[in-house]
Amino acid sequence: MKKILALIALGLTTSLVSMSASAHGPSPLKVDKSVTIKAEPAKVWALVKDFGNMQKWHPAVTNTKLEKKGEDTFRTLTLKDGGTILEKLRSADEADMKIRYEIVSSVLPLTDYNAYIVVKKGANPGESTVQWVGRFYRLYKLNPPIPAGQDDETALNAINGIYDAGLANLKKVAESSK
Amino acid sequence: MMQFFHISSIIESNHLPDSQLILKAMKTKKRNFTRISSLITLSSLILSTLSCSTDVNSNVSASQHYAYITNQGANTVSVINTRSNQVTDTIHVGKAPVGVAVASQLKRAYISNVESQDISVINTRNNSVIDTIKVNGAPVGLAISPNEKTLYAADWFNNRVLAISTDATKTVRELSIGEAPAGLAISPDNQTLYITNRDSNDVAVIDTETLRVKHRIQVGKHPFGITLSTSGKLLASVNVQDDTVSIINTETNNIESMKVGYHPYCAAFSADEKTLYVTNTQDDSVTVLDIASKKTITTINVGSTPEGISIDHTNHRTYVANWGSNNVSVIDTNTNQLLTTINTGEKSRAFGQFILKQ
Repeated sequence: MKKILALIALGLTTSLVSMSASAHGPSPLKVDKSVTIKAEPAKVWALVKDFGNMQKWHPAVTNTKLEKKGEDTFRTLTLKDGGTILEKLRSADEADMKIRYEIVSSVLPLTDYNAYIVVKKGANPGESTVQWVGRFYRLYKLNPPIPAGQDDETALNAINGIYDAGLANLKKVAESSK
Repeated sequence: MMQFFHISSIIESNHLPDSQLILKAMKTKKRNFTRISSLITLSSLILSTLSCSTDVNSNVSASQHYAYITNQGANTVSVINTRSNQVTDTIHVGKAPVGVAVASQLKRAYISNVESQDISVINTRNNSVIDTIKVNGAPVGLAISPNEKTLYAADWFNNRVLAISTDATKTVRELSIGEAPAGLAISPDNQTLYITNRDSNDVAVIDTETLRVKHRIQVGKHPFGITLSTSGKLLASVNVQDDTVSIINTETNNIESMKVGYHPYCAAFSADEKTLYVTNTQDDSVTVLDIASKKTITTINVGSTPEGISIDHTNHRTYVANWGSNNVSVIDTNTNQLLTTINTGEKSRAFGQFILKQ
């Protein structure tokens, strides 16, 4: 659990390591992670689509506050270290078992983040595959030199940490609960 | 040597067990006679098959069209035959390729590599990289003049556009332009260059003779993609942040703004100039717009995070590069239905007009 926060912290502080010698283009970044879960897709989907209860499966989230503003649905995630992430639900598609959302504002070292999580039938009966894909940019969008903690590496580290920890625990929760 | 690399890249992309054996054999230091001879036999077999297939291609070349798709995360370009909808080649280019421009007469494809800060020049007869043009900056958008004499490259970071002579790629003129120049388009008479400037929310209209800005057209927020209709009469800028396209009549300068999907990126006009196809990156869809009525005819679901789009007017097919799902969606422009999906490479972008007629 602390791992992910440590990872984020690591990303924030050790960006000295990422000396991007070459100038970076305005390249969007992508993290694409999958996990196989020994549980029925419907059961896994029930956890994933529950936009207001991410703390049920993500170990870095202590609290989720759901809010409706007109047609739009938002959630505020409170992280272990007290930091918050405000996210907007883009869509939740029952047929495809796919949820899409974006970050409105957050403590994370990145911008223009949007993501989806999709649940599919696994290779074997009673199995699911969960794929989590995020697209975002590093915090600093201008010309190099890039300030410490605002580069591609830092942004990627943060999201890799969140996805790895989240999917591992989603697997644990889905496989253990009835 | 070049041929060897060509072969090895094909081998890699096809994952032929026999071929991998050859590569392995080639790497071992001590080779016995039988190994070498079998290697030679196999290599020559492959060589002959290859040359056969190239011959076949060049024989029917008059009617073959290809889509050149940049894969930013794989540092490659996937070449798709638009009749068979198969990837016929995968070409290694510079680092983080994004933009593309094709020259059908010259038989060249130009690829902008954002991270290696250069432009790869591909000979489309054999799909090999024959030249690399250094750009000190971040080349993104590319476009070729209809007479194929000038390649324009937008340097996103240094707010300038380079005009590169295609017969002497070291001959470069440049102009300073608005903030973050992105997309480029050139009028059919080669006289006018249009540039979307993402951070100054305008389209700059440039006289290609003098490289001076004639005037600027205010469009929507964060214009990125830009495209001209075949006649040059209609110009469309795709405005990412306000989810619109601005359609400009280049004769009257009249501007119409039309709503499309979430975070649109690029667009392409139909051959009859009545319809505009727009990729919506955050909706995973393509909006088909009726220009006269300003209404959406239909919305087609494609792959994840669609970016570059070009139409093969002869085959009535629209090609859409999907950054998120690493593939290309093919739309039948007669029915506006999704025809097929072709796997390409990591982070397909294909920013620019990428259909080559060969």
